[in-house]
Amino acid sequence: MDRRNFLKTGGQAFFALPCLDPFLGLVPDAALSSLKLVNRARDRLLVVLELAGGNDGLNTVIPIEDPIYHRVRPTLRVEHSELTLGDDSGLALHPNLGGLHELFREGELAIVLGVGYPSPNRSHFRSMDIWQSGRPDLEDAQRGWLGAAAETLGRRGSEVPAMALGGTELPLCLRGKIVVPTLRTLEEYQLFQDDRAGKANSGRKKTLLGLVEEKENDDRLARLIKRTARQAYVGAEKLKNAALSYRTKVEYPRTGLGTRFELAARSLSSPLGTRVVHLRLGGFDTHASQRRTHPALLSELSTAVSAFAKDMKVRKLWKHTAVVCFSEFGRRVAENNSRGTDHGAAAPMFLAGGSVNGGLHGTQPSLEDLDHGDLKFAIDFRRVYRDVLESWLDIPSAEILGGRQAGLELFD
Amino acid sequence: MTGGWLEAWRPGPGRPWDIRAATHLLRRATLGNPRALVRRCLELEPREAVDELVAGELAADNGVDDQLAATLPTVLASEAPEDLAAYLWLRMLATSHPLRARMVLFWHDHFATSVQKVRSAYWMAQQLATFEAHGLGSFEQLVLEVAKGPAMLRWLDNDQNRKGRANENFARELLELFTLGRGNYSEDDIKQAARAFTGWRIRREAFYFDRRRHDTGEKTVFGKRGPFTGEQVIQMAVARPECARFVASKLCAVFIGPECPGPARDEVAELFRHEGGRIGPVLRTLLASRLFFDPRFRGTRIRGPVEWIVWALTSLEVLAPPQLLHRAAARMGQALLAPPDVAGWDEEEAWISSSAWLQRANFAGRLGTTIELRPALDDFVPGRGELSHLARRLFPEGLGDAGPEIARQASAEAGLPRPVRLNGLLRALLMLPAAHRF
Repeated sequence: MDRRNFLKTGGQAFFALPCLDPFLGLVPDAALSSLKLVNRARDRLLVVLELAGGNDGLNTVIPIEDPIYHRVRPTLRVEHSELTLGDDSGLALHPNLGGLHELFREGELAIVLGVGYPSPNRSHFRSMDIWQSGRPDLEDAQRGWLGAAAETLGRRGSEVPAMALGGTELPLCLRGKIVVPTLRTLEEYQLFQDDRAGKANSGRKKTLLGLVEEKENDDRLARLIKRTARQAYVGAEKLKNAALSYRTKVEYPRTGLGTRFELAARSLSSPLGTRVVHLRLGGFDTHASQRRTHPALLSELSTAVSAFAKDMKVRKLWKHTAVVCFSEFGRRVAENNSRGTDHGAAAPMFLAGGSVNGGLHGTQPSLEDLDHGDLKFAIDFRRVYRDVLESWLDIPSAEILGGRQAGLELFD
Repeated sequence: MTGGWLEAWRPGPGRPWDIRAATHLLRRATLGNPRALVRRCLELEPREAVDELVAGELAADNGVDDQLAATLPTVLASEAPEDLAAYLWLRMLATSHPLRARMVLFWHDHFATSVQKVRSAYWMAQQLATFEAHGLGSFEQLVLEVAKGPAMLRWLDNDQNRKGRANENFARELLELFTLGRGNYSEDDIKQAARAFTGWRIRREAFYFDRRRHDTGEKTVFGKRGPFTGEQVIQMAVARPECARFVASKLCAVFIGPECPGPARDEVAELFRHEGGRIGPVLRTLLASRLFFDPRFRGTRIRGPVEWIVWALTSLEVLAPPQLLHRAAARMGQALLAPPDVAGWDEEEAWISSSAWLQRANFAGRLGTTIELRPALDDFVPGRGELSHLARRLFPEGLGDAGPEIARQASAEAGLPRPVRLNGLLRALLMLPAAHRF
């Protein structure tokens, strides 16, 4: 049959019902390599990692040569660290951040110093809303800075532009007008299959697909519903096959965050076109006995990001990936009476990725010139968001952030 | 009202008062189409059926509304919004005044107040009670009551609004989203109106007028000048022709659908004015009209998550654990009591996305496990008998060309255990494209 005839007779139906084979489980779509996804410079991937509770920035990026630091933190101070950041910054990473330090040495970790916003709010709830919405000026933002970005990415063709992984609740940063799935496992973006039905399941899938087969006299609404339904069924199946057929060569740490980063890597390589993923690591509200928990959290953070970076390099996606790490506020400079620290203000932010403009950005806030015992901020966090939105995701940021922000050149 | 779109619909050859028409009425007016109500409608003339629907007399009073209402204090004692949401779900599913329940949902979307900021289940319950008490009454009174409710005072910061430091949030949304629609007022109207609402506070869980904080000065609103109070501003706003048009367009969007012609909307606006801004009488005419029963506008709306679940359960005549339903609807994008913003939920096609579709499919595929059908499926022949029974409840008008496809599955699975068959059948029936539009 020549091409013209094929298109006239069979072609229409063929193009209208893509990928029936994988759906019926006959031939897994093993050829779906992650390379196929990212064939345009614009396909950039983003992981947003939320450190919940208020990470103690001063024990993360440590002014190791500052005597004031050592004086005001008699029990909490880190006495010594090999992980120096450059030769003359006077700063070093906490000893448990070896993985991040390796990225720093390779020029793939940007550390933005003294990030915060005017009139810092020390309420977890309020401050996290501010970071998640990107709008310190709004009393109750209902839309997240990434939710807005996801809407744009959806319009550009991503079937499921963003996902929140690892929890049950959708974080504010991803809230917007489109439905963003919250998954603990990729299996949740799956069509539930009753195992008790056994062999009848393939017949059931056929029925579902058959019910949304487009017909001649379908009106516009019917066609919209059917098209979406087919996209959903076929997408879920593609995802299942891709997840089954991909095996990561990198070993992720067996921690909560490690597992979630592995899930992130799989989600970002899935056929659903997911570009933005949100992860969360909790436990940073270290008011007491900080030594018992904070170093372990930093270790969890570092090993997970490190494994993720290695995995994305193997998948040849590292240059297209950025990990942005934030917390709702830093902590006070001086330790308190419970060997912990209280809510503070400014803190450093990390960006890791193959196209990140690595190194230190900004200057470490002074430990003398404080704001009621807290570090003063020098860089508004919205400037970091601006770079992520505009320079990285190619999305205009002014409307999302409630105004224009000056860039920071955080990306190559 | 005579003439034009709102003329009473008169069935005749080519436009029968049949199962299709009755299910259309029930679906738009009350969300579900249980057999008893379909039968009852067809025993009456369309006009009478509508009257009974609006009066809450179509369904027999089973006493459930009162029983449930008596549980409300216990529900609120937990202070957990999920418990109030579960209560709201039960009310919608078991009420004997389904049109009133449908309007509670309508007003909830219209005034789009979220418990996430209000942070009080009690105040949200007060707001819902206002929708129930006034949702079919005077629109002006409804707006007034809602505006003075603690939930709204907190939601739009009007409890912070004081003389000399006006907070415009409430005034703006009152005009833009609740009464007039964007563009039908000026920025000055908002600023001045905000002054009229100063001093409106909450004290002891109720409205409190704080004279000291109230701006008694002269304000110019809608071109009129005077020392207006908040009540007066609401009266003025509702009296404006733009308000009639705005309410009319919302009612038409929900009861007629996106294809509703402009002139028809204008007639509904005129009807609204004619009926003194009372919703019940407007619906009595609208739902019995030529416009409403016009076949071109049937099936033109997409069911949102709540509408879909309520349709499924009320038509199957079953209940399921309401907390489950609340979580499921939230995963599908519609968490009751927590609309995404003050503009409410994005409707129609915005509900249709591939991940939302999967959420619906997975809900449908597990529903059978959570409900108790009466009569039980034991009474029916496995396979096609069961299918026929379930299909008739959900689609009294028939399955059309989807029938053979599902029948094939039913026959093929007749040998599987009943609970397994049930889940399979329900999923197929509830995931028909026709199940998601009405």
